Amino acid sequence: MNDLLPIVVSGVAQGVPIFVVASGLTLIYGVLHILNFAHGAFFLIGAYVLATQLTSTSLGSFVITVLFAGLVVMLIGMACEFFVFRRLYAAGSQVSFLGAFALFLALQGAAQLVWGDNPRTAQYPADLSGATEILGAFVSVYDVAVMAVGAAVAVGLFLMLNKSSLGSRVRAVAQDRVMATALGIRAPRVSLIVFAIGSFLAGAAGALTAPVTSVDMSLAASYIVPAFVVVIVGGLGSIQGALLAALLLGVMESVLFRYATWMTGFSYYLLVAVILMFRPQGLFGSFSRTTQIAR
Amino acid sequence: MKRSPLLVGATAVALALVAGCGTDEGTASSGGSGGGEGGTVKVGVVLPFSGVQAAIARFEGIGAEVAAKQINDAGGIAGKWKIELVQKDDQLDAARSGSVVRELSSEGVSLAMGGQTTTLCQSLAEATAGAEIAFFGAHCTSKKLIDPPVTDNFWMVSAKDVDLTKALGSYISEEFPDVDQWSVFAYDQEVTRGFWTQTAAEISAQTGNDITAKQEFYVPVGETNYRNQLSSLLSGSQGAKDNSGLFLGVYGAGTTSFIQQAKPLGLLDAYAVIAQTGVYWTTAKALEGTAPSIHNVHEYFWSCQDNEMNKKFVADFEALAGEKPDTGAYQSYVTLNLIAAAIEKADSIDQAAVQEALPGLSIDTPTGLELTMDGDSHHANQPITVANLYGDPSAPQTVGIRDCKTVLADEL
Repeated sequence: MNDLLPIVVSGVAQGVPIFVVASGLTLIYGVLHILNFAHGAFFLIGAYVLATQLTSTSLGSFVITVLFAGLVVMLIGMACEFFVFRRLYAAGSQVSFLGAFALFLALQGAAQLVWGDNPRTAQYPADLSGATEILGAFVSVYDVAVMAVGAAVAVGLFLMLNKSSLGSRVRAVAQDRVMATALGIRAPRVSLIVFAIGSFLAGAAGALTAPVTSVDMSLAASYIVPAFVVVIVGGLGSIQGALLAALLLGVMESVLFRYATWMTGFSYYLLVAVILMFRPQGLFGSFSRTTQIAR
Repeated sequence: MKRSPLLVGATAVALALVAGCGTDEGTASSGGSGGGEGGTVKVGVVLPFSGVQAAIARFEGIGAEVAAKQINDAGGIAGKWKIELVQKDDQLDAARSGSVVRELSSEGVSLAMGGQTTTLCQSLAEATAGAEIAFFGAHCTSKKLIDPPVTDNFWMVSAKDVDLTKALGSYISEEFPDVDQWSVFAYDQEVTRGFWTQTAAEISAQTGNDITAKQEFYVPVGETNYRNQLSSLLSGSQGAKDNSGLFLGVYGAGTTSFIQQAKPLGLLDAYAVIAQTGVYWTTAKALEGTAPSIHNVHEYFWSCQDNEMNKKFVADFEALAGEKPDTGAYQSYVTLNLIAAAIEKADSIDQAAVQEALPGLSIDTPTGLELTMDGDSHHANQPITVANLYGDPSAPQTVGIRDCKTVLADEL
């Protein structure tokens, strides 16, 4: 048992950042039924905004810049929803997916034009530097902070979807857009709000990731693939499923690293293979066309 | 119908941006005369100008541009031929080698350089062999490509990996003779695993101590989440710092991610020496003055030499790129200079005549040492430099370079 605790802690530290990236992705799918590949570009832009705009190592400045990155990406996301996705809802999920992929390439190209090819980095906030030992595992204080942010995102989304009037409208649109509109819910506005929240989460996740990695064009793909795995394993559109899948993925990676080092890096494939074999709809998913956003 | 113009507009913008991403072919390829006509010799520069290594390739391309400009400004090769570079983007994809070479061939190119990875070097060598183009591996490092050469038309100008690791091992054994406890963190590739074993073998040979790694972690290429490995490295680093070393066999985003994730754990301060074989300059620049001290091996570091040729190379490069040159830029620079020297010696731009002129051909390099092409192995005896790079906010591009040691590969 003593051996397992550090593995679990390391796994959670590894999995939560992926959940933060995946949360916006699964939220948008849950309501709009769009597998938003452009999420990777939103994430990338958030990371670049932090890496280029952060001017101080104070915690306050860092938090403000993360929020600013989220807002910048939120505006881009809203523009994408208004000018592109809104015109593709009726065309079906395949067309929407292709549209999202085109947007991904276009936004990535735009990011390259704006910020250039050279990789960039960001500094940790001074107050979150250093490391701590939790149950035998060495974890950076920054990772602990990101875990707290991940928990806050999960709780916040749960409350928003289940305990607010906006959540009621979101669930109504997610379950039957036509019926919700007939009942007086302004579905386009709800869609825009959901896209704004999802995009904000992508931008903030990118900004939170910037201090622990190289901010360059490869970043989008390196984080969006695990995020997609988490969304699929958790069940398309399920926030709870994404959280559980991200934690499973992180812990599985830690277990493989500890007991089967030669398989390190295969956890994504293993997890997807096992889950899809026994529960093709994902952990919290259903075969129904209607969403499981509130489940 | 009312909305369709918006959709069309958005699509057009998206397509224009996408098209913009993939068109990095240089303007130098347009116009100009065919190879050999009108006093112009076309030289192909095949590099991944788009994709994840675009930043590295851009510097490499500029290195070739600097050499071409210097030669052309001096009146051309032997006063007869001006160089025209024809840049082609291989997108870091060996499967594109065939089409890239066909494009070069159709544009009258019979001399080409490039090769970012071992796979690309081999595929480009094979593709150019069929098209009767002499191909110069400017950035290839694998010993498997030479002696004998992978194809008769392939000439490798950059230093081979075993020489780089030998130089690094020799340097470490001289400067840090007490370090015998090593931890290894590298990409899970044959070549990067080899970097460690070759370096360790050289340290063992030089010091007489049997060097083995007390911890070894090999991660998949492209993975940037190292939390598990770092936690274990930290657990294993609880000992005397004076005799502990860390060998890094990752590069690019891998190095940056490792440093960024290791820094808050205090891991970077747990070793007497950190040694790396991959290019560190790019990462050190990106860290903006906070780069940890790492001993790095490559052909070239811009401030290690104080000679006129280097000063001119650095100044001309800076004028074009706005930054100091890295080792990739140097590799392209000396490769094009070697091609020019071979043309001058052959007094011809015919690829067969140029290749005949290569064995035994020597040129000066910005390192202050001569580079000589061997006719049997098809590999140049490159100068190799080991240096200590560290973050320094007051240094050009925030990277300090010190303790340089440059040697010729055959003197190792």
